[in-house]
Formats: sequence, C-alpha cells, structure tokens
Amino acid sequence: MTRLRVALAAVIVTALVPAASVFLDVLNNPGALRQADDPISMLERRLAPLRDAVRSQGVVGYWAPPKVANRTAHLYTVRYALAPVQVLDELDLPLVVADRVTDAQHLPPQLCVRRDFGQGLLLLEQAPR
Amino acid sequence: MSVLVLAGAAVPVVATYLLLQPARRAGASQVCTIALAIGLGLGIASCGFFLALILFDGRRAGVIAIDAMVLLVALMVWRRSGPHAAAPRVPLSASERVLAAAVFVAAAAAGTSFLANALDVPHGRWDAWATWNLRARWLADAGPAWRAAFPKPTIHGDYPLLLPATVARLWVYAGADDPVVPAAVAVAYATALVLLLYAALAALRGRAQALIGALCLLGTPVFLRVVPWQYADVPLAFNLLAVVTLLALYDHDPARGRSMLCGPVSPPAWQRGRRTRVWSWFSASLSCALR
Repeated sequence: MTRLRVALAAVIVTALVPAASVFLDVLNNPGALRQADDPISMLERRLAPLRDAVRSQGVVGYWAPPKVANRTAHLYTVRYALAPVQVLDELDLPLVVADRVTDAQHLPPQLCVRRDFGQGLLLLEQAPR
Repeated sequence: MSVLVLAGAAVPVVATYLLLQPARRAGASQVCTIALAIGLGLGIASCGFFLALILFDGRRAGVIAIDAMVLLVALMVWRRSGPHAAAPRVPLSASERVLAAAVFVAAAAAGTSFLANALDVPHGRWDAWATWNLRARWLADAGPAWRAAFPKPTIHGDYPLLLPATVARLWVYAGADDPVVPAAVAVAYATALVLLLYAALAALRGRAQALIGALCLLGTPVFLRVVPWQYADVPLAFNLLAVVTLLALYDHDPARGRSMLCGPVSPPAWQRGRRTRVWSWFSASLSCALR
C-alpha cells in the first residue's frame, strides 16, 4: 500500500512539474497574458490597403530587393496576408507587389510604380515599352 | 466570436452527439460520447463544408442549409433510438479524489499556457498559417475560385481538408478571418483528445488509471506547446486515438462495442499525409474484418 502511494505521488508530482512551470512563468511575467503585437498581425495591418487594391486580381507577382533577409519567409507571409489573391514569385505579371523597398530608383527595369503605400510597400506594374 | 460562430461550432457537435446515442445505449460513457461528438462532429462538418463548396461555392446560406440537414437527420435518428439506461454513480475513492484534483490543476495550467501562447502567436506557428490557415482563407474567401487553393505555388496542396475546411466553415459563419477561430478549433480538439483518453482508459482499465492517463497527457510539455501552435498533430492524435479506442472497446466487449465500429472507418483519411491514409485503410479493413 505504501509503495502504491509513493508511486502515485511520484506520478502526480512529475506530471505537475510543467503545470508549476507555467504558473511560475505567468507570475514572473504578468505581461504574458496580454495581447502581443505579433509580426504577422503587424504585416497584415500594413498590407490591408494593398489587399483592397489587388482584391479584384486573381494573381499578382512579388518582388523584394535582393538584400532582404528571410525573403522566402516574407513571401509566404505576404501570400497569407493577401489570400485569396495568388502571389507568385514572378515579375512578368500585370501587377507586382514589392515590399521592403528602400530605394524606388532601383526597381527591375521592366516595372514602374503604380501606387506607393509607404514604408517600402509598392504596387508595381509593367512599364510601357 | 459572434453568436453565429458559436452556433456554427455547436450544431455539428450536437448533431453528432445525437447520432452517437445508439453507442450510448450500447454502453459507451457520457464522456466518451462527448469527446467523440466534438472530434467527429467537426470532421463531419468539414465534409459538409466541402460539399457546400462544390454545390454553392461555399456561400453562407449553402453552408447553413447543409448543417441544418445534418442536424435534422441526427434528430430523426435520436427520436428513433430509445432511452439508454443511466449508469450507476460510483463515488470517488480517496486516491481518485487526489488524482482528480491533480488533473484539475494540470488542466488549469494547460489553459493558462494556451492563453499565453495564443496571445503571443495568434495566427499559430509556421505550419498553421503557411499551410492550414492559408488554405482556409482561400476556401472561405475565394468564392467560385476556391479550387485555386490546391495547385502550386500552394505548399502541400495535396493535403486533405479536415483542418482548413473546419476553420474556413467557421470563418464563413463569422463573415471574417478571425484568428480566434483556428485557436478555438485547436482547443476543441485538445479537449476532445484528453476526454477521449480518459474515457477509453476508464472503460478498459478503470477510473484511477484513466485519471493518471489524462494527467500524464496534460503534463506533457510538447502537448502544451503544440496546441497553441495550431498544428494538425492534435486533430491527428485525436483521430488515431479514436480509431484505437473504438477497436479496443470492441475487442474488450464485442457485444457492446459492435455499434461503435462505424467510427474507425472515417476520420484520418481526411487529415494529412500518406502514412495517415495507409493507417485509415488499415483501420477500415480491420473494422470490416471484425464485423
């Protein structure tokens, strides 16, 4: 009987270690239970006007300056933010979304700015030939 | 979350609960029936939503009409099935009371952990938003163009639709892509998983071991992490556990478990990946063989 009680106590204590860790974390950091400004929500807010502008398009292209870090991850985030508009990693579509552009003078030569949303976010279109 | 979304979530669960009443009569516990009603109900609703996509391009009226039909069928089945005998109430022993208290503490910690993580990453981790919720946005918002959610460049376009269709269906009810919805779906499946583990162990091994099982699951750090990530692993775990549970209940008591054998045939095939489909075929074949 004693062995059973010891075993039961061991199981309970072991299983409750993560619970204790959770409660201690929250006590030490009360801010953990407040709404954080996560990167995807921030990008969605920034892209909201662009989303409205391209809503009628089925497909748009994507361009980011070559030096942009985590370009692939950023492309996927843009895809999520603009869905159900399809965002392809191509430049030969009528409209192309460009983000993190620091210098609008150094765009791909076949594209020109159709609309500037600020903070490096541009909607590009094919330049007249 | 609006009242309409809550109703949209509740209808399939209630309908499945009613459909499972023959299993209740055959001896399945209330907890087991509730757990299965949550998981299978969401699965049935996602299949209904897929039908609504094909027939009505996912318009809200079409989705509600299909849900109403499922509820109507469930009510008819429920009216035809007779009452079930009430299970005798057995009081908790001293050790079971201690275990129940520990489970309560672990569940409170799991809820707190989920809340903190969900507030930190409301869209879930990479797999959630880049695969499941991205597809759900397509299904909910694209109208007649919903089929474009599958070809490239969509990643894992071949993955089945249990999770995206469940989320998209509730987004259609909401009329907006509220990130609370996929988080709530993750919680629903996690709750169903814990309840089902408890119910299965209670039926097969007794209440004390069932409480230990639930406690161990709630005390597993990776489980606490994966739920707010909104990954498909938790719904997958629920469906695999449902298959194992229903087969084990049949094996434990063939006479009482016979009516529950319908369960193993369906769920994981609507989930993800090739291995899951193999598992599904295996469980379906086993079900047929046992019959």
